[in-house]
Amino acid sequence: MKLDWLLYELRRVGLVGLLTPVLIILFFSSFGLLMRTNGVSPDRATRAVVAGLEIGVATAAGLIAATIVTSDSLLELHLSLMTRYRTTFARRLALMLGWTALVGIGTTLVVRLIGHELAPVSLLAQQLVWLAPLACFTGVGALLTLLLRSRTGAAAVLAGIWIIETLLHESFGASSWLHPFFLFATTYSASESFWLGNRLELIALGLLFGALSLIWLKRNPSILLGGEG
Amino acid sequence: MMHGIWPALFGATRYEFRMQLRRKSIWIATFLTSLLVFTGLRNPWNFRHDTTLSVVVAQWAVVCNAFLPIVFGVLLADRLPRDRRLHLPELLDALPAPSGSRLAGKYFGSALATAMPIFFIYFSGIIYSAFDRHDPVAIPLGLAAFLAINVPGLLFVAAFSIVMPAILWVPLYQFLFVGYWFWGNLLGPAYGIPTISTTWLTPIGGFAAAGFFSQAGEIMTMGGDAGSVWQGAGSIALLLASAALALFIAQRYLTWQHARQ
Amino acid sequence: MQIEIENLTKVYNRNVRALDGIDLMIPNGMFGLLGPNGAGKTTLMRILAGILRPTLGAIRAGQIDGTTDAGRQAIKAILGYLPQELGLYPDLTAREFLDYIGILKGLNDRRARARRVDELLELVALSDVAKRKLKTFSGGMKRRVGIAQALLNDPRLLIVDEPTAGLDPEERIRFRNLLSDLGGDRTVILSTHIVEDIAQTCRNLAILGKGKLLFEGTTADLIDAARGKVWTITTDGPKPDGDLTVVSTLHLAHETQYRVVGDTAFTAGAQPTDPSLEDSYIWLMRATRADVVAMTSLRS
Repeated sequence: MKLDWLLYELRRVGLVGLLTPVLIILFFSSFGLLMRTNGVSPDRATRAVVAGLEIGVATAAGLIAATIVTSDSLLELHLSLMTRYRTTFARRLALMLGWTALVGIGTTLVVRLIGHELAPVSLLAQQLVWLAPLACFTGVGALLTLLLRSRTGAAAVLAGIWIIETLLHESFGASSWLHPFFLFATTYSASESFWLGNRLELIALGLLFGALSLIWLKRNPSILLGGEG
Repeated sequence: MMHGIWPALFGATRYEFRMQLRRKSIWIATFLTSLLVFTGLRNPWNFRHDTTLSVVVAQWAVVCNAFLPIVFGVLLADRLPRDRRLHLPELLDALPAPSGSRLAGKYFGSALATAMPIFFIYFSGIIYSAFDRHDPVAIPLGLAAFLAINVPGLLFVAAFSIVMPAILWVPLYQFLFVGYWFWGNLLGPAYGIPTISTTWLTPIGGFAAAGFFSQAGEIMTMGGDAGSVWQGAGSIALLLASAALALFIAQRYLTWQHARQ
Repeated sequence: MQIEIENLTKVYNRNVRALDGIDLMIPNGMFGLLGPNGAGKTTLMRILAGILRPTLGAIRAGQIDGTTDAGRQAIKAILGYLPQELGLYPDLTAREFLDYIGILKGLNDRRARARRVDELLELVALSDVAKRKLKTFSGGMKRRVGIAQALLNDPRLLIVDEPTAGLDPEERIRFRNLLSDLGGDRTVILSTHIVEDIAQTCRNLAILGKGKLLFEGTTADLIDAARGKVWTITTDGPKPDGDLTVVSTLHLAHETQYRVVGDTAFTAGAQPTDPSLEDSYIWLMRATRADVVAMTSLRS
């Protein structure tokens, strides 16, 4: 009975929501295949899949997190119910993260089965390829939406972070003070010594932002009612 | 009373501009992103003093155009769905003003407003250059570079960001737009993936920068040829024509969709 | 201006028949449109406002043929429309919003438009808050902005869908009076669930049910049709049952007074009483349902 909410939330997310991370991985994998047919080395082609997990899925998760904070047409009604909105919000985040985690684990296993590795570390540590940016983007997405009271504004900042991290990846790799914020370290600097530390720091950042979002929602649950028109 | 195209277009532009300009998030999001842009190497205060002014100005324009249109495009994506969310189409559709004027007004007004913070950020760099080099020519040159390099790209991005959410869920469009921006502007052919990043259809403005401001465009045409004035003009024309075509098709689609109701 | 509607039919996707062969003549003045939820009132309003195209049938507004694109555009030029779900731009002030709608209505002279906006703000008692953003307005204030925008172009045809929803009693009366005044020299179509609003303002009305026209005539005709079908029953016993509809229940000191609509009173103490428009509406809906039941049982 306690999982009844899960069925309703799954119906709410819908097929499009569930398919999004899968389609992103398929899309980036097809890029990898295309690169192979154009004579690119297997290692570089595998990086397309890494990019799909680390850059594509994580960005989508951030946008979805920004969306699920605000996009509830029942928000006003929900705030009047016994179940707190932050509980529902946390459940939705958990559902999204859980499903994305399944896709992430599945992808690392498939890549290993076909004889490649996403990163030069153990299979367990390879999960950090997707987990770290996923946690960070999700936390940032949720917190930005609350800060800006605008889903679109949050999406714009996430997009800005994305493009800057992508374009200035050399600076992020070269400056030690930027290492904790290097979201795409596997795609661009997988073999660097700071990789593991970077992953753990990103997860910590994500947890911090997620916790701040929940605390904010707890202190002022009606903050979402007066968002930008 | 006259139910002309132009008064409705100007009226819609004026009010869409005001509404978008009043959104705090366009200012906060653009300025937050620009803070990260300033950490880059091609800012006005990072050039050596023997670099020519036209190179400084054009490269600063290209740097702004590499990063900030992504925020610009994402911020514009909710303009058309917002009307639906606010239950406005029923009221607006009962008015005699042509729907094409309203769409064009939404495009020009909201694009202009969203470009304002970008212009301020860009122009602050230009003013810095003018003072730093004691050369007031930086200001007209900066304006010319903004018009030639940034404006066509922004108008191109705005057209797609306004109209695509008519058929795509906004978060999905925003995600695809972010991916497109990297693929279509910044991913060189060396990656082994087909890309339009070195073609005239690159809104980042590499060809305009190369064509009108000499060597400045080399970076953003990914090592391709430096580009002539004609190529620069061709790129601008192609971007503007694509924007106009996108708006025209969207208008036809929305009219058709409305007629089907 | 007279509106003639002939065999008007609207079929939505998936074969949902919202309007089914409506023939209606709407004269100059206030005209009421009643009906239960899903009767097709809003669809009819939207077709008249040129927002939706009918699947079949003809509309004529004065000399204008409302079935062509040019005709629809011509109707929009003389139309004021207040939709049921009124959308407003929350970031604009009341004055800015009205100015914007004025521009889209073709009021191109800036000074004349500003004058008209000020007049209407005064009319709907919003002059004091004209510079406040609409997102700070209450439901009633938003409704008043809605009626002001509908009147901007001094329309010859005014269509208002549930205009008094969300208004407090004083505002409702004020609004009804305003509509009555406007109905003096133009056609005003008032669609509502609130029968009292129609009773107080309209001489003519139509009632829709499941996309069909159930009644067309004057309010007096409808009331006459229900005469002898409305009763009051005062009892200290149980609530009256049988083939009747309880319209109201009033608890007195030791008894309860019921107002009921039905063909016969059933109870000995029932007193016949004069029907109100609301009683008559209830009677008509009962009769319509009874017809359907009778038809169904005949077929079976």
